[in-house]
Amino acid sequence: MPEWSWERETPVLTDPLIERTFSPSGAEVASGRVEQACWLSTEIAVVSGWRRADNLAGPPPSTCRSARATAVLHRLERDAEESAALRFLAVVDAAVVFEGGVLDVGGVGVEFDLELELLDPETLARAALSGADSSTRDRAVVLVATAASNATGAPSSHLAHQLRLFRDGARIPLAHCEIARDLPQGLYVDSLYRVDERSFYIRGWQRDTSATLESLVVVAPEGARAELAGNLVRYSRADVEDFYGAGPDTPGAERTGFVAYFELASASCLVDGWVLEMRNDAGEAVEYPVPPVIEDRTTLRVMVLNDLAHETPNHEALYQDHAFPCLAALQDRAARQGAIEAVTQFGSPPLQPEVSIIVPLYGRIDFVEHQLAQFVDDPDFKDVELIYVLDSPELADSLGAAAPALFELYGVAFRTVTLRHNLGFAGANAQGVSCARGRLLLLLNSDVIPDRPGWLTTMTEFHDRTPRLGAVGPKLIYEDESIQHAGMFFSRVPGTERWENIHYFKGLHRSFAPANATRIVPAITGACLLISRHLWDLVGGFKGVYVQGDFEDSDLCLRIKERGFDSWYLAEVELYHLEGQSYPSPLRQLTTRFNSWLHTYLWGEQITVVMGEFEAERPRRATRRAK
Amino acid sequence: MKKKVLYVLHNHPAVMPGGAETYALELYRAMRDAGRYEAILLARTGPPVSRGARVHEGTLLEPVGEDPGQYFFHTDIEEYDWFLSTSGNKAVYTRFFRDFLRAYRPDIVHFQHTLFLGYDILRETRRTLPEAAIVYTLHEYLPICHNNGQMFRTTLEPCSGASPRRCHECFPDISPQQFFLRERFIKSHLSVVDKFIAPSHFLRERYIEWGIAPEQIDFEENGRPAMIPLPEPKRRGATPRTRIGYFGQFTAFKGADVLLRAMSILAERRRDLKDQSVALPRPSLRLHGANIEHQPTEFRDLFDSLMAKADGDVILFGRYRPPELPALMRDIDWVVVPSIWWENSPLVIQEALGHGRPIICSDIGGMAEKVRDGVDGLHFRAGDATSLADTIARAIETPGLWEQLRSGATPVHPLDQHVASLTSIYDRILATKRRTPKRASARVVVGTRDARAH
Repeated sequence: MPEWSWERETPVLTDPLIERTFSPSGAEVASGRVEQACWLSTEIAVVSGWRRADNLAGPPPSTCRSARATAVLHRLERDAEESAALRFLAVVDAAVVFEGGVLDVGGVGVEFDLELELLDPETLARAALSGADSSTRDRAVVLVATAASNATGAPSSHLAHQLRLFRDGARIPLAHCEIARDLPQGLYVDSLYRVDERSFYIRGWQRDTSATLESLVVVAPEGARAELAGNLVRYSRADVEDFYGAGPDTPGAERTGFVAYFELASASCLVDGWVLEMRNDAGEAVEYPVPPVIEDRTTLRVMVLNDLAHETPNHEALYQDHAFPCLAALQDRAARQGAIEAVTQFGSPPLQPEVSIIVPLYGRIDFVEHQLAQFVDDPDFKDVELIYVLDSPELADSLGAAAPALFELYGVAFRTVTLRHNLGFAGANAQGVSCARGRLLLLLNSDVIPDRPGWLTTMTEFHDRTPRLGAVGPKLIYEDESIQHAGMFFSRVPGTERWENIHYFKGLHRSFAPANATRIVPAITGACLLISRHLWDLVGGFKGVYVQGDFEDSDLCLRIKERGFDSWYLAEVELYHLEGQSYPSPLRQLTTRFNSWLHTYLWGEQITVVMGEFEAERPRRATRRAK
Repeated sequence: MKKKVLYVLHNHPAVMPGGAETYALELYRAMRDAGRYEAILLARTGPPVSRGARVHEGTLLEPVGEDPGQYFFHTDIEEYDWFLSTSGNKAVYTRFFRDFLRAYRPDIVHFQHTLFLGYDILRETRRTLPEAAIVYTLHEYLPICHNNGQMFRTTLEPCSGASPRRCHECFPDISPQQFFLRERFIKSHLSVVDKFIAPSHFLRERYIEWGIAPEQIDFEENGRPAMIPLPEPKRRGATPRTRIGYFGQFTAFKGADVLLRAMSILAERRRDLKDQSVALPRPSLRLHGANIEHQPTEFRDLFDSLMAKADGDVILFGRYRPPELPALMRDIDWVVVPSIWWENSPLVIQEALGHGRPIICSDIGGMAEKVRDGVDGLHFRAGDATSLADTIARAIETPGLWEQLRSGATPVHPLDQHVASLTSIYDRILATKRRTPKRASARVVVGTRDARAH
């Protein structure tokens, strides 16, 4: 029996200087052979073979000096007479297989065999790795997957299938983890979500009452592996604990549930074939198949937010290392997709508009008419570029039918921008701004209805004559004459480090005297916000990292503040804001908690400074009031 | 600058016009119009009183109509603990009510009722406004008694005093320990009150027995707006005054069943005497009230069977609103208040006295105190239908008694006088507070939510 042992691996060869077809420096020609090859795609192939191992005095060979070879693995093979040979496996440019020639493997020239066998990936993997241990096999799989992913741009499904075949040929499955009450180990994946081709979100449970968990590896069908142990958020799973009936104090039986966001070193696009491997410190290893990958983004978002409710000792990690990167990656993916479906202009827009008004429409479009019915009698609207951004693609037909009729009736020129997907508050505004030409931008909610004409000029004049003004927002009132917005400030959520946005004087009567002072405030609402296009571009507009519209406005105000500009509350201008009452569903509460966590995570220090400045003014005012 | 008084109550009369609510709104308006104080009113709303839900995100406030001084305050009944009278959602106090207090900074916070709001709201007021005068009008016995604050035992007899053991007897499912904790909890919050107002001596005594220091609780009758007294009810010639009115909910506490039983005793007597060819004056009864459908089945069945037995002498009217009382009393000779619980200072008694309608009432508690037997009304033994039948018979059969009692009625406590009394109470507390050194520990650090200061 030959004794096999891997001497060395080089997972990725990253030396870009190697461009020679073959000119090994001091390498002996034909000290070995490439005997097998398989194509992974039209661009890359895997080859395997052997080379002489008689010059092993120095460091084990570690490079593949070859045309377009990207990675190589060696292992030492000894036969019964102790004469040694090195087996190798390399990922090479597909063309090399056609061209033949000599590969430089660790300073040794290796010839392509004339009777080179062309195999499918599975068979090649089996042959090349026959007799290797499982850790070697895993490394081989990762090597091939990573090299393939690096060598090609967008992963094709053909490549993915070839990689899957290679993995299946190389990998020896671990024992299947039986789930039974009397067994110490249990392993299960409830769901695996794809965020994008390299990012995933996994939910499941794991227990082991016999030994300590050492490793929990999720294996992609294409071969990439991600170690989850140490990166898991663990929480108590009543259903699992009920099933096993073990007391919560049993070691290895508490907090069996887990969730994790993880990223792969190489892309994966296959839906089936994922495996979860578990190893403990007693040397036992089992695996469990993962159900098909779920692609639906909306489901995933809901799932991530719901998972925030779990009671877990590593709550901060849950937010920071799992929910945040996962939701951010989701939003990124949405933003990368083409955004605008159609732009339609009704009436002639002003040639050089002073102000562009951007109104996102979400969920309902009947507010358009209510706004037009107020704008029509307002002389300010002659030079305004009015842009409605439809963020509910399912209402495109309704808006398409209503818009021409509304223009016929009111004669107020406006433009509709229909989005291809729902982008949320930040995204919709960004798309609207991308179609705007005004020097000033007024970001307006569709449920904001003016109290009387002339408000826009008052706002723009105030904007232009006030030094260091970054953004300005008016007094907004509810239909019952109580205050919806008179500026915002930041306040710590009691008992936490988190900051929340609080509206000054909310719910008090619009005539409440202290709300009638125009002043600088820590932040203003995005429901009606005037900012110059220049500053908007400078600070990058609304950031879409928050879930479902929340905190984008204060985030913007903080960025404005960072640049040295102020947010102003303009009490003289009053508009109605028919802000709907959103019933605090458990999901909504979790969303708000996440957003508020994120807002604090991104801005905590800055908020402390800003609120410190506002607090500092207090004693002086308090003294004055006392007199 | 004018000082500010904030009135806080459990319900706004615009939603459901109860006696205490009506009084509180009248007081708010009178205090505002008197001009010494700027007045603000905050009325809790939401289920089960109102079907309306909270309307705005991020605030529990909603203005009441056009008046900038009146607010609804929405709280969630799901979060309300009926036993302790506290909200499980402490943000109601520490965030929303605190914001409101900080916005207005009232000098006086006068609570009319804390049902559905919880006693914690007193604590929050003290923490946020250490200097403010806190006044609390006690309209019933809710702090003392878990049985709807009636001090009426679940065995259907008046209760003479609460204790963990006695309360546990009324509610076997609730342990004496729980009742002990309840009392300690409520007393802890009531300790921040500067002055309690008792609208009846009887109620005041009850609270003193319960543990409130006598100097902490003042008697001050609820004021009523000046009323134009009704003329005498019309009658044909010199026929006896036989028309009786009942105004109130149809609950076991209110004794409508006692009254119905008395009516049937009288009917029986008439039948007996008819055989002997004696004609007695025949009383007729108008029942004004509602909510029988919300009563326990036993009481509902009892009420229904009594109604079925009653002949044409008893007419059942439905729900009424307090402003309708004068109109409903116009053709009534006698008003009967047959409550078997103590009562405090019922609006019906005030109205009846103001309009010169002699009262026949139970001889206990606030009723016995407000109606003087033989002067402006007649007492009967509480809960005793025979005694009530006798008293009604005496009332309608004794010539000149009605006129005598009508002339004996003293006018109700006028609202302007009430406002003056309260004003001097407010002033005294504030003066005392100014003299007393500030309690440093009670001083709340002004947090970031002190919106006013910005």
